[in-house]
Amino acid sequence: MIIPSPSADTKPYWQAAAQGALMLRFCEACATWHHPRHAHCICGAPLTWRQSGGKGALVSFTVVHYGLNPALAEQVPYTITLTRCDEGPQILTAMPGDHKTLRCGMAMTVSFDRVTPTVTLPRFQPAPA
Amino acid sequence: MSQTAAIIGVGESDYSWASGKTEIDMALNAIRLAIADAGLAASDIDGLMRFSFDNVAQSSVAEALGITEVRLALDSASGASSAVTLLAAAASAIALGQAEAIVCYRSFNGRSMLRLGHMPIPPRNEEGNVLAEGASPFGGEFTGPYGMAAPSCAFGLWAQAYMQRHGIAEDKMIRALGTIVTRQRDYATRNPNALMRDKPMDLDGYLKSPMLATPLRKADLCLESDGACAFVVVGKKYAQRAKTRPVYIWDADQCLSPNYSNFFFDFAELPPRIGIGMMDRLLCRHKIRHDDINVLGIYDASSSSVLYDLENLGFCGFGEAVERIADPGIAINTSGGLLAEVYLQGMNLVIELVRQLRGQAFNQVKNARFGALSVGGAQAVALLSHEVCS
Repeated sequence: MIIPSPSADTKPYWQAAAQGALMLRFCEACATWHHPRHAHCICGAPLTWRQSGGKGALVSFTVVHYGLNPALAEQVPYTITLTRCDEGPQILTAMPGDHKTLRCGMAMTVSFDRVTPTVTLPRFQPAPA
Repeated sequence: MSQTAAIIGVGESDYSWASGKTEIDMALNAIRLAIADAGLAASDIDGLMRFSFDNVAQSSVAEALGITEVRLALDSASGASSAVTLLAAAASAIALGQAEAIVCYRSFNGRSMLRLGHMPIPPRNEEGNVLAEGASPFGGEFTGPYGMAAPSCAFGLWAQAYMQRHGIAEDKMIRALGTIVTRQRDYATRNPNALMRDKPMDLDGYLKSPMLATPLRKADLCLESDGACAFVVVGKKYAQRAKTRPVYIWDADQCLSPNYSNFFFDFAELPPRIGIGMMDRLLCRHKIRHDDINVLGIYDASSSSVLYDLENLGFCGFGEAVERIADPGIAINTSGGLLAEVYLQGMNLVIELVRQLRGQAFNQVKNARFGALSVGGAQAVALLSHEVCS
């Protein structure tokens, strides 16, 4: 299992995930949304955390069949997805298994996968029709 | 840019899967060969330039070669675009009189030391879980837990989006990728230093290559390999008395995207459309056309990169390269490229263009007059010719 090792800066993202919330960064000064990896807006203002609606559209996906390191060898195949949240930022997650029937542009919704007692990963998956 | 700078010497170490040599040994090997090819002595060299992430320092090279006065030592921080950055920096330095004979080099044990196609094995915690930390696009905090472990996964995302955007059926995409791979494997069979020289591949063989990240197979990804490349850039004085045919740096231009070195896949449009119009402007400055270019080097981190670069450079329209690649009307990566010769991040493509423009290539394009280089996903382009720039 590969689990995130948060920095002091990104800890709130993973704490919120454990509570079932997807957080993005937000600039109060210019009212723009940002990917959680960013701590500052390009305007210079520090970014705050704000909850995403957890919905978006699939930008693209790829099914990985090859273990790129020993920890991943036991997980193949898995499907990496890139979802553009309705707020704007693009969030990369993955689903176990081969989902070659996904279509770019399809509606996605986030769910939360408790992978260890202390770690929860947000995962996007196709929204129910 | 003043166009008096020329490449008059090139050198390569042996390329291998396990060099058994240090990166400085391989660098010195390639550099000595390049200086000898140029007909110069080490004491003539007064400039040394490298990729910023190369482990071989200019001072170490100077010391080993007995160069006592280095007038210019520079690093390119342009990542995968660095081969063009070095051409541009060397040509500028020559034009400004900052140096008279500059060696540009890249040395990398990319198989036996650091495999960029694989995720390094990070530390495990007490429960045996692997910890993914930091903002790396591959194996970082927001990517590693999802198995986003290497550039191949990003190229898979790009390729799926490309097919979807342009309505390209999967079998058509696979045929186009297979055409690129099998052609470069064929070129490599006639290049004695190419790592895949004994590994020709036909379309059936390509289809049998294991799937890595759909729709890309193992054969679609560049090699992980050991080796070093070097070339010597000089001004008029040395070019005129070179024992080789000088290859002039007509132009070099760059349009670097910060995302490319940060979050690789996080572009609003995939594959990223970078540097659109840059090649047109470059060609316009010299009153030549795409058709005038005889040979092209494209940074083929993946076979799919060839498709996107042809489009980004304006050789065809967006979504058209899958058709165009069957008969592109231009020779591409004739040494085998990063897919079949060696992964030296575009420096080997520079050397191949020099061989072509000298008329000494293993897969020689008849009367090759103009060669162009596109690296880093068309973020940086250069134009070379054996003719003096008018």
